[in-house]
Amino acid sequence: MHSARVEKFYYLMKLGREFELAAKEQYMQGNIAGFLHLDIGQEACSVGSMQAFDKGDVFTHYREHVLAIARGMDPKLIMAELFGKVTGVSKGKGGSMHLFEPNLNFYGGDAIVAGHLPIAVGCAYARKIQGEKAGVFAIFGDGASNAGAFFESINIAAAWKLPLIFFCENNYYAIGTRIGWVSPFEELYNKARNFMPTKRIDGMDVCEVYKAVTQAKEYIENGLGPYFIEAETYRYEGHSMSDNGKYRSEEEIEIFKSRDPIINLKKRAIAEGLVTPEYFDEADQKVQKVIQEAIEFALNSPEPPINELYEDVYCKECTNVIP
Amino acid sequence: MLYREALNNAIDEMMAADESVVILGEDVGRYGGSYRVSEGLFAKYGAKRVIDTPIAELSIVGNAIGMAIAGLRPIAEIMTVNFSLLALDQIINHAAKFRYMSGGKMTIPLTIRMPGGVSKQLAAQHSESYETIYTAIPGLIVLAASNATYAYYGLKAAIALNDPVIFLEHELLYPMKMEFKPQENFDPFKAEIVKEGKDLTIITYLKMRYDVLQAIPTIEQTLNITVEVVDLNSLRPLDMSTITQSIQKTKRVAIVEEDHKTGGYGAEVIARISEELFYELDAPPLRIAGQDVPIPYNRTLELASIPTPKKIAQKIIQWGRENGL
Amino acid sequence: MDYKIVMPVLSDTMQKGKLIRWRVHEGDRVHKGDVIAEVESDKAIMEVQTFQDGIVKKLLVKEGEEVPIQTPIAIIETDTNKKEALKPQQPQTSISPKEEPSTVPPVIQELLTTSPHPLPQGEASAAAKKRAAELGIDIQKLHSQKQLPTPAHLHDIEEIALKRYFTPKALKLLQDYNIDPKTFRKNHKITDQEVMSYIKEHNIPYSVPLSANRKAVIQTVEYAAKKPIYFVFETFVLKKVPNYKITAILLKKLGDVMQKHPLTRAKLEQEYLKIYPHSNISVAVAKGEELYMVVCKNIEEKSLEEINIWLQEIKDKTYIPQDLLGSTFGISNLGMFGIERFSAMINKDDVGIAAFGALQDNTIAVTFTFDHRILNGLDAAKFIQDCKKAFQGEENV
Ligand SMILES: Cc1ncc(C[n+]2csc(CCOP(=O)(O)OP(=O)(O)O)c2C)c(N)n1
Ligand SMILES: [Mg+2]
Repeated sequence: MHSARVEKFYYLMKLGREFELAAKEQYMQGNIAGFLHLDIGQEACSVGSMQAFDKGDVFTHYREHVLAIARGMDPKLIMAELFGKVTGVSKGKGGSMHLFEPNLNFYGGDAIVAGHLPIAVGCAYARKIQGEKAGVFAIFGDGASNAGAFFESINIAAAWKLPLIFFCENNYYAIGTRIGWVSPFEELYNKARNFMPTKRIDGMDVCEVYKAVTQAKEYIENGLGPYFIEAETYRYEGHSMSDNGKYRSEEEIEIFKSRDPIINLKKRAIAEGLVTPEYFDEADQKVQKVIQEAIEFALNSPEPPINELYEDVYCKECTNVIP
Repeated sequence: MLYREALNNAIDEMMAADESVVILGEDVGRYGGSYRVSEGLFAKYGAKRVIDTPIAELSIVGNAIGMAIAGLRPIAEIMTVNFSLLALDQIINHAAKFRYMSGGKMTIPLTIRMPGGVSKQLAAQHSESYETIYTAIPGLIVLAASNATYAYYGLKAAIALNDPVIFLEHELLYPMKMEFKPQENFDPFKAEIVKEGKDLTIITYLKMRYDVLQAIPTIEQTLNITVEVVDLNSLRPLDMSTITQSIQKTKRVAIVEEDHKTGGYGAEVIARISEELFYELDAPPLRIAGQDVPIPYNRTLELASIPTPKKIAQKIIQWGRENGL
Repeated sequence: MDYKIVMPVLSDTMQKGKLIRWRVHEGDRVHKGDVIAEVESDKAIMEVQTFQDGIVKKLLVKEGEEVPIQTPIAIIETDTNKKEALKPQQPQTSISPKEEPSTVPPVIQELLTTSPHPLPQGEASAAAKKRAAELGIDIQKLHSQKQLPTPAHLHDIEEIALKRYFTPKALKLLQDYNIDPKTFRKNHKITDQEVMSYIKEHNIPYSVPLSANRKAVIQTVEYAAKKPIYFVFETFVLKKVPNYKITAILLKKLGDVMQKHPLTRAKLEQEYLKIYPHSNISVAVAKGEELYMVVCKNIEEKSLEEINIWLQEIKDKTYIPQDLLGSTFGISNLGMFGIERFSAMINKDDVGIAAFGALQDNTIAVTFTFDHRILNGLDAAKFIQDCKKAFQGEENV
């Protein structure tokens, strides 16, 4: 790995982690509400994948703040969205679960589990017939891999050889349901094995995620069809703010915490002499500054005006004819 | 008693009384239900009868239909009505139609519980009320529990019924402490007169009941009238006899619902009243409903999208003044 | 710097949280991310973390206590190092609870002024039309004669019908005696004589609603009737003074004597006798049908002249609550109606009341009613003795 790349990984993961912690704090203070799903522990998946998959289209579920940051979305605009402010990426109408930015080919922020997968398939189909090289990246959880939409999607994508990366974050739990209770196996690449190439990776290791996605990207760009990656990972927190996550044992949580993607990357980088220790201090400070700015921006931004309620239901032209 | 405890008691008692009653859904077992409705049932009745399912709503309902055909009495929990859209095919094409398509040979004793409505800042994909869809389907019974008493007796009745029942709950009601009124000769299809009055009937159901009750003092004082409040309880079938008696007395009717106005369930109720009670009405009926927009995340916009006590009072007072009250 | 940890908002439906357990003590050092407490939301038991390093300065909530969300539960004294500079400035609004629209709606002012929309001519509600049809009423004709409002409602039609069957005077009687018009089934227009003979035949009462004032009087006298009271009968010497009302003289003399008898200025309040400095006397004033006990204040400081003017003024005044409060003694003067002697009910919490009869040959009969809880017989006797002297003496007048 290039040291510059490692530095970027570290910075983005740290930024993601601190963003989530700040969001948690702001939620507890009442500035953020609704469902807030934190990515703490899973930063390597978001950052490694987006660093590798830097061009095509991205479809994601509701645990997407860090993915959006890694894709290049301004943390200020995300924090403002979480605060429900008009300056947020979705004008305060979407909230934490619904970050969209077509300019970054970032298409949500979908909170219906697995609902985005058939959509990603359709997009991949369009990219294929449009002759676009960069394909589509769809990220989802272990829970989503049980949905009918998932099975329909892997089948169609494989049947039509679509340029689509299925990236499954297997954190073993769908809210309080352990994957093994509702799936015959916990190694989920088995579900796609007969449809496309699959790979099970350590999702707590950002370099491994980066490498796997790079490889998958080359594969789909060559028109060979879809690719399935299962990343083993873990959320340290509960499913959302109202869940304590206590259906998991302390030991299990500790094991995964010992594999922390940020701490381990730092250790390795210093040991291998890739990055100087000073860099990390600088990065940490920069992160603090960015987060502080994001919160200030969100706090000081205005609420959406009341007429925003009726805007964006239809396109401008249609709004004129529909009362 | 908490609303969710009333539901829990109803399920618990039905499971204790009848071995064929089972419950299935996402997180209903070991986790205790995402709104704690099935808390304690897994420990009591075991994994065979308290079934954790994967996130697969179509299968939850489809499997429940199969269980019902085989002689069980399943209670399917869909985490919220928003996700029940994934199960619509099973609910509408299968559960609702098997009896009829089979010339009456098939019986599907199935209860599908689901909460809906605008909670607090859950945004567009988690805030819908779809009673308008389910009440439009022949073959389905649709009950809506606004309070602990109906939650308890209504759910028990639903489980005991031999047809598919959509049992609607509201997310904001679960943690609410409510008075529990023991009932004799409970009829799940009967509307409740929550409050008597003689000048205006307000029809409502689910959480809007509470918003209406908060608006009543202002309405009554400002217009110098008394208002009768009817909580429907059963949306399909609709208790027209209670509605008729009330309107014959008051001569005026308003319906307050949280769902979007266009094509909302209130439109159906008003249509029935217009057809059957037209010459009883001394004023055009009034509909107070949610705006025709997806529900926004921002709190101010969210509250602007649904009826609130203040808006209910404003609209009814204005309408009352324009119509001779 | 103090960092406040609040009862966290842990779900969209949470209103209050219960502090289950503290995991730290005051004085403990904590680091960002450390769990400091366990709280119970409506959904589950959750851990509360600190987001700052520092020392636990104060735990504000006891274990087992339930507090609203966003209430501070602990204060952390943060380390004063570079981190503090980075901490975003949080305006006060970020921790105070968000303002939700109040649940009890206020009376909506703008609506009080909106006028009904005028609708097209000839309109009536469905129910009104149905009733009109039943009664054979031609809405359009009445509209053209301007006898019906537009749109016509049910009660408008009922009114037309009544006018058709009853003379206006008869209608008034129906209303006054609250008689259902359906009682009369005749094939001619019904007159007030017919209604009146019906009323007499059936001995129907005319009901007068109680005025607010009468309700208050009823309450006062019912209350007074429950007090342990006794009477003292006396006759005072009194000379009429030209240009002064007798009531003014009575007020002045009594008020002055009250200064020497603290218990006549007392009120019984729970465990205390509260003795007020001023002589404030309530005096019965008739206004039309209503009776008010208006209070003449600080009599000991007023001249007879001033009291006389005050009595003149209060006759035409509309009373505010203050005018009727603050007395400890009362007088009633039915003497002005020629009544020789009578007794009166004690007003509200007064110690007693003096009922004065008519002035005859420079003497006046007076009956005192006293509340025995405040003033016993001996005290009363001394007070009356002094009154008697004051009435005999010429000095004040
Ligand atoms: C169709 C549907 N059913 C249920 C839900 C409720 N729900 C939201 S997230 C979730 C669990 C998803 O778990 P997983 O796919 O493993 O993703 P993770 O949260 O672990 O990242 C569930 C059941 C939903 N949003 N959509
Ligand atoms: Mg998961």
